[in-house]
Amino acid sequence: MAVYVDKELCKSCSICVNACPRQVFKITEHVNKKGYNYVEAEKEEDCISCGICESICPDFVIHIEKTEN
Amino acid sequence: MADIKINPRRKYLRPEKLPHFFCSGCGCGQVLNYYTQALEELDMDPEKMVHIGGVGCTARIPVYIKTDMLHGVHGRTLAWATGIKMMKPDLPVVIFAGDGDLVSIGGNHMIQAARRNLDVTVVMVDNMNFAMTGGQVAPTTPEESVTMTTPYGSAEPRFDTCRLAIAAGATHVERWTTADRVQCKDAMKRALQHKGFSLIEIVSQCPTHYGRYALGTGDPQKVIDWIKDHTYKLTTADSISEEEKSGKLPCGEFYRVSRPIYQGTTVMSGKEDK
Repeated sequence: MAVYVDKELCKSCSICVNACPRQVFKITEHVNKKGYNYVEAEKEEDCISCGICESICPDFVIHIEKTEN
Repeated sequence: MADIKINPRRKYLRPEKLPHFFCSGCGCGQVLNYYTQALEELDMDPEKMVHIGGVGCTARIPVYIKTDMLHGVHGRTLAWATGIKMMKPDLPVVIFAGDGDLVSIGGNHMIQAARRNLDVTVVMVDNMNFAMTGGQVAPTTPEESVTMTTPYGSAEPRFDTCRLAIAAGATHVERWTTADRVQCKDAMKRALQHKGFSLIEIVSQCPTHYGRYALGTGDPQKVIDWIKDHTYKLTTADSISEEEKSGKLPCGEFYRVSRPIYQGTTVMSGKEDK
């Protein structure tokens, strides 16, 4: 699976960081064009592709691509 | 990064309008996300629907959807919807209104539209204050909350919009919070398929104003946790004592019946959900 983050839309609200059951996301120290510290899928290999982050993100930042196992 | 893949539900949104104007962690963005999930699961095309927003933060939600939309008269969303439904009864109309829009300024429109059983879907995002104008006290502000205009705490009890809508004659009434992602999506799906007046109230976080004034935090997650602590589900209501229920809002599907809808001079017999 793959976790895609559209960093230009992220507003650093941390809702995905708190919602993820595997603590995949982390707020980085880098800023995007709007001046927000965007999220990053730090531990992408831990992702279980539950899709919670994708369905609760207020800014449509995250996309999880599920792969067949 | 050229190989980045975007959320497929962004096909429902206007790309030139993103990123949207909502504050960091605003519940309106989450409601927009749940709504696109409901559209996707029902395979509905927003370009063949009408979305209406009044004035306020919530009323900006239709601006981001690729659809024909109306935006800009405070509280008169249901008056517009009534006109559209009279001329084009088959056109699905979805209204996004805030608490100030629907129960404060447009309160009478809401009561009358519910009484007539107008065939519209109303998604009310209840962020517990007038957020766009700076966090003033609203009819839905919980009692004793500190807001911009009530520095010693609000002395008024809060409005229970769902009970008002049921009493006025709405035929589908539900309340959820932004923390209930699946329930919100399913409630919107039921509302879009329902024939008659549907009111979905979604209690939402406003970290910028309600969070900072009343709760002393600007962290969206802490405001969501506060909302979770101050609501309970109807399904588990029997196991909760009356003392624990006091001051908390019930969440769930309150009411869903079938009744003839309003079509101007002719009254169509109430159909089951289409």
